[in-house]
Amino acid sequence: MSKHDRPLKILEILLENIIPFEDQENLVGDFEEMFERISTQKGKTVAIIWYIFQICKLIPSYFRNYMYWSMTMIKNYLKITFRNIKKYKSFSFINIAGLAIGMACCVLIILFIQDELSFDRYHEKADRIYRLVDSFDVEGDMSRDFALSSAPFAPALKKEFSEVEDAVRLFPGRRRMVSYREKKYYENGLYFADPSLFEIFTFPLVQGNPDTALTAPNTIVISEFIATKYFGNHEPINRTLSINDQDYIVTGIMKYVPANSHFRADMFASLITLEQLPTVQERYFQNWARHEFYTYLLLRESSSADELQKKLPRFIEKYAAVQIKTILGGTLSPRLQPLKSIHLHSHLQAEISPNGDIKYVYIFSVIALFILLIACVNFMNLAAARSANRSKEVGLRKVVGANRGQLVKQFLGESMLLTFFSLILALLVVKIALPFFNALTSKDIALNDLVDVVLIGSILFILFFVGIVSGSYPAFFISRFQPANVLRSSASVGSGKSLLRKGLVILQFSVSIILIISTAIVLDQLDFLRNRKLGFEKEHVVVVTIRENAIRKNAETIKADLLQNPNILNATITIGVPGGIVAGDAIQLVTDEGKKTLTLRMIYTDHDYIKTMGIEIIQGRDFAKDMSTDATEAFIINEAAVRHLGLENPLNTRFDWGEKKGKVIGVVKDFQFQSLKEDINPLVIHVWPHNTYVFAMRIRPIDIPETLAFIEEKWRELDPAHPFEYSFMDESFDKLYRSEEKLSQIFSLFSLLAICIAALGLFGLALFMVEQRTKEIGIRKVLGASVGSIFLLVSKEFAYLVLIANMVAWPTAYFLMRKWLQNFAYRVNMEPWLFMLSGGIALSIAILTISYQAVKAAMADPVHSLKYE
Amino acid sequence: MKSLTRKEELIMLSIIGLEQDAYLIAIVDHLSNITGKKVSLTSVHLPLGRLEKAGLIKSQLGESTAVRGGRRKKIYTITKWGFEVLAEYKRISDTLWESYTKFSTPRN
Repeated sequence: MSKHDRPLKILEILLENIIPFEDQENLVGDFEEMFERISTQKGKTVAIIWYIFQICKLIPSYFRNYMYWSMTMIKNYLKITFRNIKKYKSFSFINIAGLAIGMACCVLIILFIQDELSFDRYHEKADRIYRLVDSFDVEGDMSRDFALSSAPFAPALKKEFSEVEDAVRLFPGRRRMVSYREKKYYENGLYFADPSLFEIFTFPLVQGNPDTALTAPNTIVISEFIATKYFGNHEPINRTLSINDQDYIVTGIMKYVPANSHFRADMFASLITLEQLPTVQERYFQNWARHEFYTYLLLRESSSADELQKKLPRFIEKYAAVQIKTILGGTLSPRLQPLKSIHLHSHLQAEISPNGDIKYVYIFSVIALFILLIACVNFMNLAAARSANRSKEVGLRKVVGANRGQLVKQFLGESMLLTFFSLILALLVVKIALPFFNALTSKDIALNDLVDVVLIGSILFILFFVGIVSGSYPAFFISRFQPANVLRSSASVGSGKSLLRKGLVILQFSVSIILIISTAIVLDQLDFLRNRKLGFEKEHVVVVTIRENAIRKNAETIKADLLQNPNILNATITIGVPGGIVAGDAIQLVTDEGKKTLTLRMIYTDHDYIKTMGIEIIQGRDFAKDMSTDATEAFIINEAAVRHLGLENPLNTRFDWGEKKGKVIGVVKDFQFQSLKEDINPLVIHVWPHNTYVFAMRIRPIDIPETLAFIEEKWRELDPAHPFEYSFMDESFDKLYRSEEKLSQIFSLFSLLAICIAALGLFGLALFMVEQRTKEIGIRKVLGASVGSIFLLVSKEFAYLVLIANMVAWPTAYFLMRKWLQNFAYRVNMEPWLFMLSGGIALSIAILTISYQAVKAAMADPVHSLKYE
Repeated sequence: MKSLTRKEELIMLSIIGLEQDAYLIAIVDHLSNITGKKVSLTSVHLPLGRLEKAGLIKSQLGESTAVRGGRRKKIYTITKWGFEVLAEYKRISDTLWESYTKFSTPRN
């Protein structure tokens, strides 16, 4: 036979690959011989078919074999992994604990973000719901965008535009007293609503008919929680709840309104209750300028909000423009806001309740990533440091036939396994930490309702991300070692690559320092806001809400009565104390050329407001009781108003406010009557007790409990029907910064954790370094090195890494924080010492961490470290 | 004492018969020639593995040849232990066959 028939090359290779290695050569040879024989006897085609058939028959055994050997290897890998964990307990602890904390932070932040993003998504028609918000262009007022709109919009829009399927108005009934028999509480979650509420929003009713529940006056739908609170186990339907002394019949029970709503409601009373009152009817419901309502529109499926919005200017022109011009002296442009974007993207005046901010969602995502990165770096670093120890193993594995792919698989698998352990630990940590985290973020996250695809997906993502990132160094670097090199010399191959390690430490500490600096600046800014000269004295003012008309009427006698107590210095009744919402009101500036209508912020009060708040008068005088005209024809304005109106000589400037015609008697120094995030608007203060809602008393900072008891006793006499409730002005003012406060707390927590994880890594690295240099240190000591010099030797190596990290972190933090500070009208300077302090903190944490190892190494008896030489 | 199946016994005997050229295909050919039946590769390969594992036969790779794509053959030989087992089998068989011989010979 000169020419041999041979099977196709590709089939031959295939066969070679599925036959177990030890039998490969001879069996393939045997098959080939058979092939040749069949080919000569029966033709090549038959032979090929036979050959393929043989391959097919071998496939099951191939898989059996493959599984067997890979199981064997996995067993071996697992054994080695566990041995390594046990052998290097401190390293393993650092790795697992660091990763666990990092992942726990990550999961918590994911929960937080997920919750933030879930706001208002539960409404079935959420995609089609829009809120109508108004933008004013009004002379005199700088803050123009309001979440509110006026009452006539909803019905008119529904009638005018076929795109609007339905519309609902909400009127907040803030902090009204709700009572049933002897049970009396102040409730925050009361809204008056149109009957279409249940058509638009998804608030399922447990009892009652959603179509008719709010159609009649004096009807109310309450949540199950409120039902139990007031009625206990009794059937709530058709019972009567009394709200501010008006009776409402319960017509429906709804499940609670979910926490992830941009407004929380416990009760919806029928809006018609208010609308039918003749006085209210005209003042609110036919007035396009009176912005007191939240309006939501449900658009038809086919229609677009943009299209509708384009038609709104013409609509305004047709219905509202004239009235707004005469009442407010300006124009109005409404726009539509998608329901789903309200919570994170809307920052208007008079929001229905404080919203979240998409910025914080981003910030927290970045922090989560940072922390995870720091934890991964720990892992990589320790792996890199220990690569010398593992290089022998790698060499040996290669010698006995492991290929690189197997080694990569082994190391990645190992880091996956460690990551998996950490993940389990992390989930435990999350479970334990969740209540605290909820308290911190004022959220109500439960793990059970969040176990969904997204969460599990992101957890798996974290697992793989961390596993692969942190295992990448050993997997791709150590597996490249040449067995001949690593096995021949006892010199550690890994330590040559310390550049990477140093880079990673710098990265870790840069991130930590950035977080520390940011925290410091956030805290500083908050401190600044709290302690900034506000223009009034916010401490020691007790505020009680007026709930009884008689109190308003007899204010002067009550004040005189209270002032009998020497610890009560001043008392005033006013629309509100600084920090609350101060609405704009239309006022006419009277000049020689004529009258000009403006909208200015207005505080209605009595003669004692300026005294009680401790506001400084810079021109003219305060209201005085002995000047009979002060109650009827006097205005006091602030500096901002003077500037805004361009008044050269503000005193005696004439203003008309409805029937009240008067002139300016004084100018007050600008004081912060609103949040510090806003600039100070032009303001008018005048005596008008009819529009007052709170009673404010300045008390002496001594015997405060006694003074409060005295006030309470007096109040109970004056108003026995309502439970007594008071607050301190400074507390309510500080509440304005609650979201920043929360931010700073969360920031502090996470930067603390970040630095902890970084320190943990550094600890491990120092431990390793010292271990490696035991002999060197021993010899140095024998030759006479002092403890101090050895300490220095070990610490300086890390200290300068932290110093470099500072250089990286400072500019980065500077730019990041400058951006954040731009949110505030009044902001701190970023002081250089803050940066230095943060860097110093990081450095001292690093040195403290290292010093344990350094001192241990320096104190060690050289006899022990050198006895094996 | 290792017990052998009929197949294993035949394979071992074939290996002895084939002397220096006892590799898989040769054994298969040998057996099918003697029995006159088709013998599959698998039915020989598997018992070979078992016998080798039991230590009754051993194998080594032969010289490479131009045929078979230059691949070497795996040549099997009987171990000392294998011979002992076979001898024992032969003794048992012979003893048992003796009575058969007596039976089959007509005693007039």
